[in-house]
Amino acid sequence: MQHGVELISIGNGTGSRETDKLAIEAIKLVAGHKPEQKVAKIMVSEAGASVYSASAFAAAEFPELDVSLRGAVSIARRLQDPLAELVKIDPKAIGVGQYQHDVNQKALARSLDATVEDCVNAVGVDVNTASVPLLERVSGLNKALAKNIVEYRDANGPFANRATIRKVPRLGDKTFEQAAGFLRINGGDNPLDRSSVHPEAYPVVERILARISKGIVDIMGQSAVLKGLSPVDFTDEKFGVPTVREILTELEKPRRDPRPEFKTATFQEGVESLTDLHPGMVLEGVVTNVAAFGAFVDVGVHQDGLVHVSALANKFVKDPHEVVKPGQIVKVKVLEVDVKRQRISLTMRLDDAPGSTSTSGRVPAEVSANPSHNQRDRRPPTPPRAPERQPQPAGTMAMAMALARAKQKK
Amino acid sequence: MVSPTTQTISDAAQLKIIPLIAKELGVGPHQVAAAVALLDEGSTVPFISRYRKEVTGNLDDTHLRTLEERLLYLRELELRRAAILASIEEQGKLTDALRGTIEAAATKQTLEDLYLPYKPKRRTRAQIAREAGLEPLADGLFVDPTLDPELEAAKYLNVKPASEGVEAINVPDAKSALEGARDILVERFAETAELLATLRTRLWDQGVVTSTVMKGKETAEEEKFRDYYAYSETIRTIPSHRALALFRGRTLGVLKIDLGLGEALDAVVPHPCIATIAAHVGIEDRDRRADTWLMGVCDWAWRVKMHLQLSVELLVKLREAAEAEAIRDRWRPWPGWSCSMVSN
Repeated sequence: MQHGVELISIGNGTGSRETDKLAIEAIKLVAGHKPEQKVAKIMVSEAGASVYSASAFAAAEFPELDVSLRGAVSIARRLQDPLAELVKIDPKAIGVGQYQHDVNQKALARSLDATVEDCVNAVGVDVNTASVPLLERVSGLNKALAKNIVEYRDANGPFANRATIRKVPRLGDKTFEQAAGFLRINGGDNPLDRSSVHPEAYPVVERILARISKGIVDIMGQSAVLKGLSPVDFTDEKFGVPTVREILTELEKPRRDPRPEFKTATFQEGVESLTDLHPGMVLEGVVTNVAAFGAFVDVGVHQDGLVHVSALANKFVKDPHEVVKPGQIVKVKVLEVDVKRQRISLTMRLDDAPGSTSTSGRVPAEVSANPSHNQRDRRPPTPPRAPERQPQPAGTMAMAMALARAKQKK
Repeated sequence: MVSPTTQTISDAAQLKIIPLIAKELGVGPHQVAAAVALLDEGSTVPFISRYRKEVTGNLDDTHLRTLEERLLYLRELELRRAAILASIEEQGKLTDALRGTIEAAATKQTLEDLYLPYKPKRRTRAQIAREAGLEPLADGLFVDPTLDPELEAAKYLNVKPASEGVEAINVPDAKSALEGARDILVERFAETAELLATLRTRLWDQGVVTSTVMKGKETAEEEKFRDYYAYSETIRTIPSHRALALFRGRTLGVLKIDLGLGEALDAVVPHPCIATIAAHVGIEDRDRRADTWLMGVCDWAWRVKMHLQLSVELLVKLREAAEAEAIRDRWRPWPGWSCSMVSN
């Protein structure tokens, strides 16, 4: 109340539902005393949060704080900007996929690194606020260069434009070429510097401006002005139609965020542990992981349930990935609960009758193939429940969660 | 990310790689060549896919990532091919025909198969037998099965203690002479690339993986593997999660995994694979005096050598395929840059 809190971020790990209750009470209390202060709460994934809080990077960020408080900060930041926060941990710590500890670790790391690199660059990075771990994922940069950028920024203040980035020690022409388009500057000298237009293509924008006799500020975000322009008119030997078309799109909608809208699942009140589940219950949940044999769904009871591949849809499903993705919000019906073995059997065919489980049978079962199955902390992110006032960025899956909203720290 | 092999490969090899990747990706060779040139200059996949659309003819990041992986593999393949050719040449054993076969090999596996007979190796049993002068015995019985093995073998008895730079020779009786001759033939059969390929294909196409529980491991702790205590499934149809479960069970010492042709075929005498070996090398059981011995050589070649070798190899293949499946990122949120978006 004192600090004007508006949003509470709750981790989905141990004690999550209890914390949630506490937050509900706190919100009621605030509403009673200060009705003008609107407070919302959201549950976020804490997959890998403990990995972060125990890391050397977290220690450097918060030398004063206890490990558990570092974890709390991380959980809050995951709501503010999941991508910027999640790049600080090894993607493996999120625990998506099947048998990730059993597979070739080199190949896995290569694939995950490539995915993170693609995600970070698809969204772009604010060079004036980004951390070293985020910057080092930018095309052309590495840890040493990322550190140099941050040191330069700390010593000389924010970069006023992209051209200044060249002054960073050891950042040469090649690196600038590779990185410049993905590094964004908000509120700098040149409005183009906050777009994905590469500085090498600025002459194309100047040609466009000359043609329509307008300034850059007059056209950015002004689709009406740009709509009638034909890309062919602005090409040259280096920049062809595809690039010019993309420049026009970018000018129309500068700083577009490629990440889909934020969706949230609502866990049912009063359903908090395995014993609260009954066959036949229909619940909303979040897909936490997809394996060849089916999908794991978090329904808010600290143990993910399994929708067997045969229960994912009314038609034959060959590959569960065709039907569900991590982060997707789904309606499921409880088929069977085995409290002793901590197993929940679910179906997405809501007209299935409990007991007629299609999962029993000849097919050998998975061997806790979900690496996160028993380890809450390794679970992929759960898209949080959104505050109603403001559409929040989406986290539709582990990596898309990493993608959710690029807005750099406010 | 993946920096394609920096060691240089010949221009000729490079020229082979580009059309191959183009075909696999279903794009033009000029597109691949342009992307390879950009990658080699140190450009990143995000940079190429976003800012070099004109140069690559619009290759997106999914294409580029696959291209990058394949480039790495094929360049390693070419380096290995060059190294193998050099090694065989140095031994003075590189014929034109062999060079042609090696040049045509399309996978690392085929290359290694072809290299097998020329690979410098530890002193093998066959090597020891050759040193003991048993090669003529092996050749003699192989070429003329009418000879009597016991009588022939008696001509090769030889016992010599080790002396300066020379290993000991120990062929005290006909039995050990015949074992040496067998080892020579077995090694020769097992290093016939064509035969290996035939058996590998058969074991892959018809192979059945079985798993059983190790004695004393049927405890509650390993309960989660109970589905695999008496399990069998054709190797080609095992889904990745089951394969990985099997390998986890084996690593933990709970499961024993075998690869065969299935209960019915494995019970046939002689085993179909032994018959294949015999047919390939031209051994027939026509009741001549050496035929039983020669069939025994084929039996040994399969049971002791090739079955083991191929099982290990194909189970590795199964494992790698399952791992690749598990690693393949199929939830990449959007293809290329065409995505749904929310404006701020």
